Amino acid sequence: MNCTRAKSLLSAYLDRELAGEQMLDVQQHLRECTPCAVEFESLRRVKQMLSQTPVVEPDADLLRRTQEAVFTSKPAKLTKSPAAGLVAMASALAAAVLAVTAAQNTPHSPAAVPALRQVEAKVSPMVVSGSDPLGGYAPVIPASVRRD
Amino acid sequence: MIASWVRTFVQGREDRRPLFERLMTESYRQAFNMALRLCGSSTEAEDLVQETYVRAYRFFYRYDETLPFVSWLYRIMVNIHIDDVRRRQRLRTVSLDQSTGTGGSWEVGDKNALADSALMETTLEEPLQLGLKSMNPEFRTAVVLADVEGMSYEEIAEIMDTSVGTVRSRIHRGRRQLKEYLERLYPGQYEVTA
Ligand SMILES: [Zn+2]
Repeated sequence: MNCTRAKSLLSAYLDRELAGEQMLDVQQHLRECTPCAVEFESLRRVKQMLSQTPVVEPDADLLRRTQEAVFTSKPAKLTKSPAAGLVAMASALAAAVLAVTAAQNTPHSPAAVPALRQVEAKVSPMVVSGSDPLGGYAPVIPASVRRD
Repeated sequence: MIASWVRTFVQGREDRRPLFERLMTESYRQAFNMALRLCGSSTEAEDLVQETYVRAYRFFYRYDETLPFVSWLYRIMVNIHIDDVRRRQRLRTVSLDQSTGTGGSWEVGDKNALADSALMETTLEEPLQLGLKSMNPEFRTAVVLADVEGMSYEEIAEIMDTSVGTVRSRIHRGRRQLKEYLERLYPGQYEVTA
């Protein structure tokens, strides 16, 4: 194993996140190479310092204030909530059902099915994937800052 | 039928409120400390914690109780934090662009700095925290999750919605940045010699 390869694996080695064989290869390299061993030791120190950071007790009032923020729904936020989305979907679907019903009353009308599809297309992204805090973010990162 | 479905949904959220309150009471200290490491000041950390729980409750119907609540919560917190940092960077870029030649936004920046320093609050000014603050938010988040929270690469990949390979790279680059920051600004204190 050369130094470039070994250096790129030092953090994963430190975290025991390498496969067995790679662990042994890095270990062997560190025994033989002083610069890499020094680099490893300084990364190990950084990790150690971070793992020893003291736990800070939050303000005594934080839990109460947070509960208040969570359970007191604000009108502005309600419009974005999933429940509001469902209400919107419900009324949109009702409109679609009306459109279909109307179309059925007038046989041979081709407008009915596209009308329903249009409503579905409008509604579903809001409920299924819209404003999703868990579905990953889409970072707008200028190329100059992006490093990986 | 749809109206009753909506009622059931809202009712379902209300039914799960005691569970959410219990999880929140159990996790808020840990969440605050995580936020503090990401933001560096208690005021910003409190805002991040509140925004995180507000959003978590709104999407609580998606939470699967067999998975650790804190991991799920951190996923939300990390998204908000990274979005916030990016938005602020964009705003700063815009205000610098607009002030070209006038120097106006520098004055604004200085005023803000004064206001910040006047606040009596827990600001983690130790070298390590300053180093964390100097990193880009993806590196900082990965390093904090690994070294402060002690999470595995797989857990971090799950939280950051990325691959284990990307996590490995972010942690390595992040630690190297932190190490170089400490060595440069505090020569003699952090260097390791052969
Ligand atoms: Zn070497």
